[in-house]
Parts: sequence; C-alpha cells; structure tokens
Amino acid sequence: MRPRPRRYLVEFEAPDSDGEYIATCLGIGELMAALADRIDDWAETLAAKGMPRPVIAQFEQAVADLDEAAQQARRSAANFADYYEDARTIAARGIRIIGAPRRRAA
Amino acid sequence: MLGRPSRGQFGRPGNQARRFAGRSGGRRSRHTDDMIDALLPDLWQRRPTRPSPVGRWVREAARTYARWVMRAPDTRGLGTGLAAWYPVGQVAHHYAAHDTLRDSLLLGAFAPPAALAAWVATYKTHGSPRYSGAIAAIAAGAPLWLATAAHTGITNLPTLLGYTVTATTAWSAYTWSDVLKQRRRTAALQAKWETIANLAGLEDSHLLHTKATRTGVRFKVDVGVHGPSASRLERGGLAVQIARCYGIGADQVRVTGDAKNARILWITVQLKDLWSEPVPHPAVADPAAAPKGHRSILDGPFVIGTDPETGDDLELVIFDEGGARHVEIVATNGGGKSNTLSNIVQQAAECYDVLTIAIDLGKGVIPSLWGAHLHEAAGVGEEDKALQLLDWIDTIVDERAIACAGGTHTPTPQAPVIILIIDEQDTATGMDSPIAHRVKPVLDKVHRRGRSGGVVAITAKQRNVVQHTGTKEGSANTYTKIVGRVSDTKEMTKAVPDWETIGCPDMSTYGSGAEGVVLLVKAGGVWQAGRTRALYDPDTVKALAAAYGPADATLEPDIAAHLPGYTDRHPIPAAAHATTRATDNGPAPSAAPGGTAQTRPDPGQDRQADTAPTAASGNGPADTGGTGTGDGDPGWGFDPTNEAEVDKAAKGLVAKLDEFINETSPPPDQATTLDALRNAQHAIDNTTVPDDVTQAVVRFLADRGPKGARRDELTQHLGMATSTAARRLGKLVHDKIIVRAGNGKAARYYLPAHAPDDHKQ
Repeated sequence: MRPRPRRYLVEFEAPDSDGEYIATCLGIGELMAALADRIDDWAETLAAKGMPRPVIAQFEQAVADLDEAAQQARRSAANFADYYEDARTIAARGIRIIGAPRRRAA
Repeated sequence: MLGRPSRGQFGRPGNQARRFAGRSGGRRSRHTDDMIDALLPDLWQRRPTRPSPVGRWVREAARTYARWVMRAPDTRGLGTGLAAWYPVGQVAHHYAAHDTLRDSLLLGAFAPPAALAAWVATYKTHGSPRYSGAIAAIAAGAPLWLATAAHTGITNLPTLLGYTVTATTAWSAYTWSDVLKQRRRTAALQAKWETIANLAGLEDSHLLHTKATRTGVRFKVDVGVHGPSASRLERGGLAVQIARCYGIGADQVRVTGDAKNARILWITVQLKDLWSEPVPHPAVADPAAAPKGHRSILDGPFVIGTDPETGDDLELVIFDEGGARHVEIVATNGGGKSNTLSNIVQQAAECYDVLTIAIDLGKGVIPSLWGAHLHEAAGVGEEDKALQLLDWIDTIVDERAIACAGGTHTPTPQAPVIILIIDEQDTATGMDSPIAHRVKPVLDKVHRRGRSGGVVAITAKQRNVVQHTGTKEGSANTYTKIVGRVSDTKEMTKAVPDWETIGCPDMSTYGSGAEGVVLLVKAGGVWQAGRTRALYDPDTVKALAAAYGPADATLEPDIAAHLPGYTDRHPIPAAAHATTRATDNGPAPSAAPGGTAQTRPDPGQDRQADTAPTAASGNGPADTGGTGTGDGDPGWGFDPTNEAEVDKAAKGLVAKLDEFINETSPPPDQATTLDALRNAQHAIDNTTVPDDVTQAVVRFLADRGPKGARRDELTQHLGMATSTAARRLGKLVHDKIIVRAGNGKAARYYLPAHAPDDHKQ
C-alpha cells in the first residue's frame, strides 16, 4: 500500500517593495535551512536503523545543497540591499509628508 | 479588670487609678504591674473595713514576694512553681489511692504529649534545641511527678529527696542555659529599640533581630501592616529622626527595606567613623599573600575592597559558569576609577587563566602603571595600536563563538579569559573621538557576544551618557556597575537610574572625604558599598606589576595565528607550534620569536580552513600537548575524523554565517516600492557626474584613507542636496571609481585602494 502523500503548500508572492523582497529572501533561506535540518535528521534516523550508506548518501548531498541554497537566498537579500543602496536613498528622499489629519472641533 | 491601666501611648499615664503603681514610685514597669495584678486574687478588692494586723502582714508579704519573683520571672518564677508543685503531688496520691498502679501509669502517660507540646511551642519561637529540651523536660516532669507522688505519697523522706534533686537539676539546667541569657539580652535591646521607635514614630513596630556590626548596630524591624510602609520610611525622614535620637550625623543611619518582605525594615546605625582608615592591599603589605597565577578565575569573584560596615569583601564577578560578566565603572575625575581598575588588574594577575588588555587613550594610566604585566596596552596617542587590539578582540570573539558552538567558553591557561579594559571611554567611543566609528562596533560586539566567548569588557567613564559611551549596549549588557564619587545626584541617577528604588546610597555624598569609596550594583539590584583597596601610589603599583611580570596564559594558537601582527609580539608556545606544523611532517621548530612567522596559515588555504573552529584546542587541558588530534589534520584545529567535533564545528560555522548574513541585510523599517527603486536606479545610471565633483570626492576619500567617509559627510563636503549627492555617489560606485561598504546609515565610501578586506561589497 502506497503511503498517502502529505500536502505541502509553499507560496511566494511577487514582492512590491524592498522590504517584501528581503523578507521573502530570508524566508526562503529559513525554509531551505529547515528543510535541510529535517532531511538531515531523517537521514540520520535511517542510518541508525541500518540503512546502507550508499542508499542515503544522496540525502547527505541534498542537505548540503539545501544549506547552500539557504545561504544563496540570504545572500540575494544582501546583494539586493547593496545594489539598491543608493537608489533607496534617493527614493526615500521622494517621500512627502502631506500632513496629519486635523482634529475635529469639539 | 483589677487595677489595669489604660493602654495609652508610650509614656502616657493610665486613665484609671492604679492601685499598686501608685505606691511603687515609678520604679516598676507597667508590664510588671500587669503581671502582679494578674497574680493577685480578687480578695484584694474586698478589703475588710478594719483589716486585722495579721492580714495586712500577709498581704504585704505576698506583695513583696510577688515583686521579688517578677524581677526575675524566669528563674524565681520557675523555682516558685517547682516548690508549689510538690504539695500538688499529695492531691494525686489522695485521688489515686484505690488503684495506685493504674492511675499512676495514666498520670505518667501525660508526660510525652506535655513534652511534645512544650517543645513545639518553644522551639518555633527560640530555635534552640537546648532551651526547648529544658522546657520539654520540665513540662514532662509535671505528670511524671504526679504519677510518682500518686504511688509513693509525699510524706516520706526518699520522695522528698528525689523531688528536690530533680527540681534543682531542672532549675539549674534552665537557669544556666545560654538561651536564657539571650532572652535577657534581647529584652534589653527591645527596650532600647522601643525608646528609639517611640521617638521616631514607630510605636507599632516590633524588633525582630539586632546585630552588632563593626561600626555600630543593625536593627531588623517588623513595621507591621498598619503603619507607614517600609519603602515610605526608607524614603522619608526616618534616618534623620533616628540620627537625632542618637545624636549622630544623618548619613550615619541607613534605612533599607527588605526585597523579600515588605514588612521588614533594616536600620543600620553607624556609631564609628567608617572611613577613618584606608583599606590596605594585601599584595602591597605582603606580596607572598597574592602571588601571580595561583588561582583560576572560576575559583571565585574578584575582591576589590572591603565593606567597612560589615567587614565583608567587595566582590566583583568577572567570569563564572554563566560566562563573562561585563563591568561598567562611572566616577567623576578623581573619583576612584583608576584605583578600582588597578584592583581589577591585580586580581586578574592572580589568575592563571586570564589575559588583560588595557586601552586608555585619554591619560594612559593603567597602561603606564601595569604595563609590565598587561598582555597588551594602548596609551595616549596610540589610536592605531588600540584599533589593532580591537581588531584582535573582534576576531577572538568570532573564533570563540564558532568554537563554543552555542556553549560557554571554559577558561584554561591555553584558552584564557580576555579582560578588555577601556579607561576614559569617551576618548574611544565619545562624540569627539576620531576612532569612535571603529571602536563602537567592536565594543558592542563584545558586550553582546563576549559573554559566551570569555571576553569581558570593563569600561570606565566619567559620565554615563551616550555622548561618552557612544552606545547604550554597554549599560544594557553590564552585569555589575561600579559607581565611584560622582559630582551630584543627577550624575548618580545617570549612572544607576533606579538607585533610589533599590536603596543605594547617593555616591555624590556617601562617605564624603574618603578615597576609594565605591558602590557595586549587580544585575537584579543587589548592591554593596565600601572602599576599594589602596593602590594609589604609582611607584608601588609599578613595582607590583614588575614583580608579577607578563601573564603566563597564552591565546589559543590557531586564533593567535589569525590575529595580524600578534605572533610578532607574542610567541606561540612550542607545544602548540608543533601542532600547527604537524601537517608538514617535519620537526617541530623552537619557540623562538623569530620562528613564529612560520605558524601562520598557508595563504592558499581555502576559506573554510580559515574560519574553521578550534573547539578541540581551546576547550580543555587534554589538548595542550598538541597530541590529542591523532592522525587528523591539525591545521583545522580539530580532528576531522572525529564526527562529533566536525559536527560541532559545522554547526558553529553555520550559526555564525546565519548571524552575519541576517545582520547585514535585515528588511528595512520603511519599505520602498520596487518601482521607486527602479526609477531611482535608472536616474543613477543616467546621471553624469561633473569632473569637479568626481575630483572632490576622490580627494576627500584619499584624505580619509582607510577610514572612509559616511554619505552625510560627503554630502556636506560637496554642499549639495542629499538626493543629488546620493545619485552622483551611486554613479561613481557604478563606474567603480569609488566603492561602498555597508548599508543604511552604516554605509561608508572608500577609494578602491582603501576598501576594507572583509565585508567588501
């Protein structure tokens, strides 16, 4: 009997701002790292149960690649912040404060 | 009630006529009169119209005897009771005559519960087994005597003799017990306290405990639930009122509450001058008493002075099982900072697992005094050296964070605790410091992460304001604050904002006129006040430092190899050297300074090897010989064949990378749309930078050299609008004429030749 597949829902929405982009990058990084940890734990469990090393060796590589992916995602956030550093300064200067709402007279 | 006076205020006469007190001439206390009243029978009210002479004589005799007993109720009362109890035995004998044995046993069976009840009732109050044992024996003796008398009667000589012997033994045991003396002493102090309490408006209080101190007396008082609260009394004029009672200075009385019980108040009265004698330093008086490197820093806190009131040591925790405990010292000019620091350095010199580094760019006092002992020091005009030392500290914190892998550093002579002393902190991190931008990040890092890595920051400053400290990380992460003399109460509040709440003395007035008076406030509000040990004479201190000589502890060899220029000044030990050379399979070189350059890692070594942790070499004495790595590659600092060590190192490395990356690019507080960013970037790309602007920027950055410049500095220098300057600077970066490092307010611009090696964008 085939195990019933579990559902995983991962969605990344297109960012509208720098904050969303960086937060999404860091989120992807965390997801990759968490996934790497889970797979690492699972592979260790398998090894402890006597699963042959060649069988689970691919998962060790997968863990390393996921860790690398997590770092790349975080690095993307850093590169983004660096690339748009000066542009962000200029864009921030364009923000105009148009005033606070007036209090209604009592 | 017969003759009972009203319970008025202290010293007020009763409203009713006092039948016996009136004839005492005021010699007896009210308490004594009450007791006599209770003892006398009602027949005294029914006086015959014409009393017979015999009756008057009997009354007078009874009154005289009652007075005599009440003057010493413990001993004379007990004796009277024992004497009166003998004829009671005849009553038991009379009623138990029909079945002597059974009734006797039944009477005797009352002894155990009587003894138990007496023990419980007295032990809870007095806490003395001897006292309670005596009382229990006496209480048990009563039924036993009745049982005995019921069986034997009292009209025979053996019974009389036995009772007499037993009663006198019990009386003697009670009379000679120490607890009785203590009760008398307590009663006397209670009477003294009642006098003070009455004058100070604490009539409802109860004296719980009195302790004689080296300088006076200390009262522990229960203020009850109806009167003013302990905290209110603490803040009010109670200390002044008590000082008036004693006729002493107001600052000689200290009123403090109890952290665990709001009803408890501690009142300390100093009847002797606390500060008349300086506290001599044992290392000066007897150098053999404080030799170099005779203890571990984990053996206990540093002792930097004495509390003259209690004689207790002023204890300063620098490192314990929880890791490094940062220290902050605040005192005005001449307020005792340098003496306190000297004490800390001296205590560190006694530890074999501590290295001390001192930076004082203002006056260079500690580097000058302790130069012979300090591992490294930077004094006046040595900003470059100070920055180099801080770079080393930065690296040490990083490397140990990796090596510890979430744990806490364990100090050893081969992996010692690093004490970083920064005196005159405003010269390093203050507003006017030219190197503040380089010092603050490292100091913040030590304050935040030095705890687990065994790096202690001890900063000393004249004022605890951000203009001097440059950052609030120090105050936020400090375990102990030491406050010396401050100029006024406002500065005291800046040093310890809640000093009034926790009951600290005001260091602007406390112990005025005495040198070295300090206040130690630990995390949690526990504080000590006292006087630091005298290390005021510079010649004496220099001689002491010379006698100590350099510390014997050494940095971890693999970390030392990562510190630029470190091995030129500090040779790596031979054993560790052999470890690092083992990869060449050659003979271990000598530990001569000239050969230390060979211990540097191979430049071609990959980055992983550079950042590889050194857990094995730093965490225990087992690896000090350098042979514990077996067949593994010692260049890694751990055995690559040991899976546990590799796993530990890898986790530390990943954690460190995560931390770094997360720190460098957090989501911005104020979001900017991507469209706006793209438009701004497009504007940058289409910007043409005039040649004069380019040359002005290049010249400015060339003058700054490795320090670089912030964006606002360049904007101000160019004298143009911020957005225009940002656009032109962005274009120069785009064209690779200049480079930028960091983001946000921390962004700095450099010429490519001066770009920092690490964190390079």
